[in-house]
Amino acid sequence: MKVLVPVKRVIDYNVKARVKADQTGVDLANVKMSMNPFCEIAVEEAVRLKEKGVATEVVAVSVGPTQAQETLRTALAMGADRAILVQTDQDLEPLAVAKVLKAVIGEESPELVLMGKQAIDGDNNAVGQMLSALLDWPQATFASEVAIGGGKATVTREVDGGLQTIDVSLPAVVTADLRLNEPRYASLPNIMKAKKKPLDVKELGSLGVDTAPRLKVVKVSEPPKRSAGIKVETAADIVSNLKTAGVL
Amino acid sequence: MAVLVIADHDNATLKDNTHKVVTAAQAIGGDIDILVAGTNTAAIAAEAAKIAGVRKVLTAESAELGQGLAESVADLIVGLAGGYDAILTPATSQGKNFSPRVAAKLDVAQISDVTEVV
Repeated sequence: MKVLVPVKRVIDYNVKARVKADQTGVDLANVKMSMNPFCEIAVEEAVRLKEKGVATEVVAVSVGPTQAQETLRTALAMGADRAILVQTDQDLEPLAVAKVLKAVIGEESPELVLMGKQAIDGDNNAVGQMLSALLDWPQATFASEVAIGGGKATVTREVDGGLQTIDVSLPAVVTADLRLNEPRYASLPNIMKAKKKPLDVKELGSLGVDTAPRLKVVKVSEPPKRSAGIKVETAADIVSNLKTAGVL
Repeated sequence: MAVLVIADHDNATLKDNTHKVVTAAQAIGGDIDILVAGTNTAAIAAEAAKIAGVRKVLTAESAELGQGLAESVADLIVGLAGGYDAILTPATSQGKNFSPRVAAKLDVAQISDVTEVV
């Protein structure tokens, strides 16, 4: 079984994001970039499926700038077999990314697409669901457990207020939640080996996909600052302050 | 201009999230309809009809919709989408599950986790 794992290069989760002075977006100049953490979980799960003998090949795909090759090398170092970069300097919306991935899937015909439930930059939580809709495949989102067998995937999903277990027939799109697994650190020998694994680069234009934006960003701003609290002497003061604030 | 709000419910009672989404729909403007899909929809629809500013409540009843699987819920909404300019749903795990599916089938963008309609 071939597993396709889309991965995204995003601002590192440890970096404090800063908004550009002209409020057009987040300042990415000289900022550390890494693989989106949910994508790491998806790569890990795919590699574990291969180690269990369920998957035969793990293909990592990224849509992004030349530097996304580093992100793909990380996936290869974790255990993916080969990688594909669809190169573009455009900042694509989720719908466009889903269309690009659909085009890649048309060429690769995987039986399972395993991807993160959302990227930590846009936080849209949309590409997996959109991709499965465009392919007319079943979807199993927010997975915390995945078992493959008998032409189907049994997936435990993290939903509001509990867990839901569903069966989906393959091929399907599964999106990983935080508790699915703990991704491994790539070992130095594996990082070295990853440099020799195949990485295909395609130009976005060669896929013939409509990537026109549907949205216009009006303004990007930081969340409002919290104002400082005040110290009160007695319980009665708290009550009177809460009353002034209109909470009580 | 018309807006469709997808009701948040547990096949028994209407959840408060629905009211919040109706408020957002009012900020967008136009006629507001609510869709109640699942089982036991009559009782939930009666509650939804009480929300101020709602034009009408649509119901769709089946055991399959009651399970809330994204595929069937999305297909239902896509079928209704022609009459609306915007479709709103609470950003619950359920809403996040079917909403991008609807957007992709309609070839439109989804705006996730909205906190304010300006």
